[in-house]
Amino acid sequence: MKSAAVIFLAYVVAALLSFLTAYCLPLSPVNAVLTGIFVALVGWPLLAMVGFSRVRNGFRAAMTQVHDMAGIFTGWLIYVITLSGTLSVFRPEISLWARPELGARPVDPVKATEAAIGWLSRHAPQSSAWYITPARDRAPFSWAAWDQNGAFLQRALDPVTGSPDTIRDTLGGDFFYRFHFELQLPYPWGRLLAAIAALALVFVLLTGIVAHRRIFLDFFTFRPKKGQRSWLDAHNLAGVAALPFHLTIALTGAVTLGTLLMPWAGLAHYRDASAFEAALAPSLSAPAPTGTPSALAPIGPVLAEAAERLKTEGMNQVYVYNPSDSAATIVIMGDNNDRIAFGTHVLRFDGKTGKLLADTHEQRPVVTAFAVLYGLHVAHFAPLATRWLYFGSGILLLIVTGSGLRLWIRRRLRRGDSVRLVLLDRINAGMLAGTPVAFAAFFLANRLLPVTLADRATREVQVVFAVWFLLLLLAVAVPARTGWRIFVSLGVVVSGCIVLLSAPWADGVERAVSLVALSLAGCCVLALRSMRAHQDGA
Amino acid sequence: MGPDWFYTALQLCGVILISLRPVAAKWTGVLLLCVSLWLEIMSAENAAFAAVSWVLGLGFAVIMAALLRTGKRMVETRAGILTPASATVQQTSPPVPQTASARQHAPSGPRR
Repeated sequence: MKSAAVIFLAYVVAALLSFLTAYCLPLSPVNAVLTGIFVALVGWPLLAMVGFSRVRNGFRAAMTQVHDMAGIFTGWLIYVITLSGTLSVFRPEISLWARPELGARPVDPVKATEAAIGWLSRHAPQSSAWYITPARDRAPFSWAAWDQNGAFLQRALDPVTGSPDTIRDTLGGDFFYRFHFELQLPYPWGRLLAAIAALALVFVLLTGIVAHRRIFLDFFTFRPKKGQRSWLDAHNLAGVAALPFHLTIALTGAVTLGTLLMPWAGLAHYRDASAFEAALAPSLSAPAPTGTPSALAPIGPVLAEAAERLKTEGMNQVYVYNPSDSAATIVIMGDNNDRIAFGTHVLRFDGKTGKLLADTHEQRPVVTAFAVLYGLHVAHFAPLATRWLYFGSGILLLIVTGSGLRLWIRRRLRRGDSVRLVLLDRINAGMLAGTPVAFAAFFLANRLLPVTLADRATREVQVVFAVWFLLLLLAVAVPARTGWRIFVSLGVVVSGCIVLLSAPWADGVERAVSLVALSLAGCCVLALRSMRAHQDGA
Repeated sequence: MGPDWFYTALQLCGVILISLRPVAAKWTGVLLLCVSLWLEIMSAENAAFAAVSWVLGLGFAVIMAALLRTGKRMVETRAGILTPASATVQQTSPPVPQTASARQHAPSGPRR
């Protein structure tokens, strides 16, 4: 109760600080509000740390207790968000793997987007907007989203014909990407939870640095085959080695959802969140329709001009607002292949005439800082080697979270069993070992469900949640040790099946997926051997 | 084998030197790390990309150094240079729990 009061009080003070910062800073409203949000996001965990040190005896002891408490309450959430985020690093590649009929091939983003807009203008002319991610070599298909009769549709479109008919209906890597920050929950609950988990991770990392006294002294220490000590070494080593990445990714993750978590700074200058968002990115705003029907200007020259202006950075998004209205507007957002800052170059065209209305480069300093933090999180800029480093660092965060959760539970179980602890131990096995198996089921469903199945993309997601639910149910029903063995064995089976269902000889993406699946299978086999040796030893 | 591999090797050498006991080795390691960062930034088209990549690479260099150290200890223990007990003591002395909360983080003792 006291802990909840400290967290709530810290939030209130951080919110007040953010409002005052935004109100008092002699900057433009948008810059001041964003500064207020940054202050609140950094301030909340720090204020909570100060608060806990006041209500408990001794700073280090207090930090140790709250490190454990925050870790156990948010650990599972952080774990699933990290796992989906780690997979999202390779979102285009997973999307390509999930559509083997496409195959890796060079594409012309301009021609592919032209074909996509041609198909949309024939099949969804009455939509209020089309949102298109142009095809690129990493994902040689256009990804389009539009509204139709009140429903929001998303499909991959062929780069040549612009039609979705020849491509299987799947979310591909977008499932993991959206799950990472929406958790398959309705707006805004999933995003709010993800934002809280991100700040909780910042808090757990900061308190962890204080709690683990020898964290930097034992920098290079790993003692295998020593039970709890090995787990603690793995926890510390993985935590310290990738600490800059973990802190950055947690803080930037909170920043991407900062307006939702800390909306109070915005109130200093704007009447509501939508007014602030419009001021934050005015070049992306949608004009109101006039109600007068009109045809869209030929899209080819518009895209060609955009490609010329975005030569070094590439095209990231193409929005067509009011495509059948005289207020039609085409907005093209540049990618960040040549810089870390994300979404700072936007082109705006008149949809009726195809004339360039504005070529906007973001100049506002705090907004640019926000774009840099956003860019660091989504890693669109990253070349292949850096993406693998992001992926590996994500795996290290999984190790830190998983080992921390296991250490906490095992340590308490040593002091004596209780129904609550035994249940926690079992669910922990289900979450830590069952979640990767459930996510792997997505890959299997993608290759095994009939290509012509109705609502195929939805069915794939349903398979993931059905498997996840069954595994958690099984985890509760069997002892934790048995649960671990079952889930790790299942890990070997599903990873093996992914390798078998891939075509590693076909292209780099298939090879990479097979290799990662093989590595996972190898780790599972090692874990099984270790569990057996431990059992024999006991 | 481009220059990128050379910078990565330099970074790994730096981290391994820092993990050694002599102070001189530690400072040489720091120097090597600085040199590898400098070379990486100077040779990159985009300094920010190079810095991000270098920081991420540093984490894996630390893990490699820890695993190498672990492997060395295991080989020494098997060869009889170190006894299992002394190996543990020489690596690092276990923390002495002072408070109840610190005891939570202490390594596990024998089961009672």
